[in-house]
Amino acid sequence: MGKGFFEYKAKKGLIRVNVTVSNKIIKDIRFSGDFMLHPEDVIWELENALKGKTIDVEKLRKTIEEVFQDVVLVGSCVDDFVYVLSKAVEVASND
Amino acid sequence: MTKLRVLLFETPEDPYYNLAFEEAFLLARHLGYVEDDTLRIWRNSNAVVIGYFQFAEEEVRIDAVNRLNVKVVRRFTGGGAVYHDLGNINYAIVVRGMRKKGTIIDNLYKYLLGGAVKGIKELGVNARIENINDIVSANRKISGCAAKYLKDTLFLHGSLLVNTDLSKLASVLKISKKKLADKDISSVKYRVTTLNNLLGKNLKYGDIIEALVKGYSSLLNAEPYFDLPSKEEIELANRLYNKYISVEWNYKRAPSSRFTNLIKDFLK
Repeated sequence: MGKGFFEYKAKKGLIRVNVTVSNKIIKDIRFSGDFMLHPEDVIWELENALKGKTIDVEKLRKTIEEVFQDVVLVGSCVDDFVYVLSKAVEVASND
Repeated sequence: MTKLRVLLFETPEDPYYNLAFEEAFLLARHLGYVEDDTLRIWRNSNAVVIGYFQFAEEEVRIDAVNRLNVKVVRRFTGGGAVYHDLGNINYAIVVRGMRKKGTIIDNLYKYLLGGAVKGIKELGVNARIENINDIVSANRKISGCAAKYLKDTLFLHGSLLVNTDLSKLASVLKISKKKLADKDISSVKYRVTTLNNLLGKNLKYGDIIEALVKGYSSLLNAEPYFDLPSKEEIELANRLYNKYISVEWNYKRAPSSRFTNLIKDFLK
């Protein structure tokens, strides 16, 4: 079981990820920070969608894109979320 | 001429109720319990207000907060943590329907934030919007804001630094190293200042109220009138208070959906 943390400052807003990975599967994950997105509660949908997923960056990207399909991000973009998640997962894998 | 309802309702010693009322007056307008678009101006006496996606432990120096008796409360909008004392004046505006062509985000930030900018200009400070949702003057940030929409109801609230204790602000908030290290000019984290510092005089609370009311009535082309909270707003706030005083909400980043049962008979 490895734990990973990474934070990244998007154009507007800091995105933090805390992730727990076991056997290349995301066991637990939380996004936090001062980013802005609408509707807000999609962030919990994203966390739930990512739990149980394998840590393949392209698959994780697909999940984020799907969940964020109708989301309005203000000052950040999907790539920012993919980047911070992939980095946190990398840290967790080396933990 | 359309009307702009103005509320000066505030509970500065009880930031939990202040934030409960903030959600209540948005919901009351959205659900049709209130007829007119509403501007609320209010203050907290000693509180840190964190954003919806933030964890208190990541944003707040808990030792300083405990020592200085600062209450920590989480709001229902995104964005960052702010320190509130009586020198920080909050404005919140709720309107029904899009006002401008363009996206909902343009309507929220570029347009609705314009009322606060107009108000600040009334006070003799040359201010402008920068970096989406900051109000800046002389390259210093004086106001930040956050927004939310519920279908066609647009809501924006912000805090305006008039005479805030900036050293106390710095001692209770954690500033991320990532933010300090950021060299990207487009995402400069402006240094902050207060209106009193910029003007070299002491503004009164009444001056700010007058300026913000002027700014928003001019923006919305509406006739302002002062009002008291409606009974539905108070009832909604009373119920939502249980959310805003909870550890689950303030410290564990629980989603709003976990508290909808508190107000379910209003949502029918």
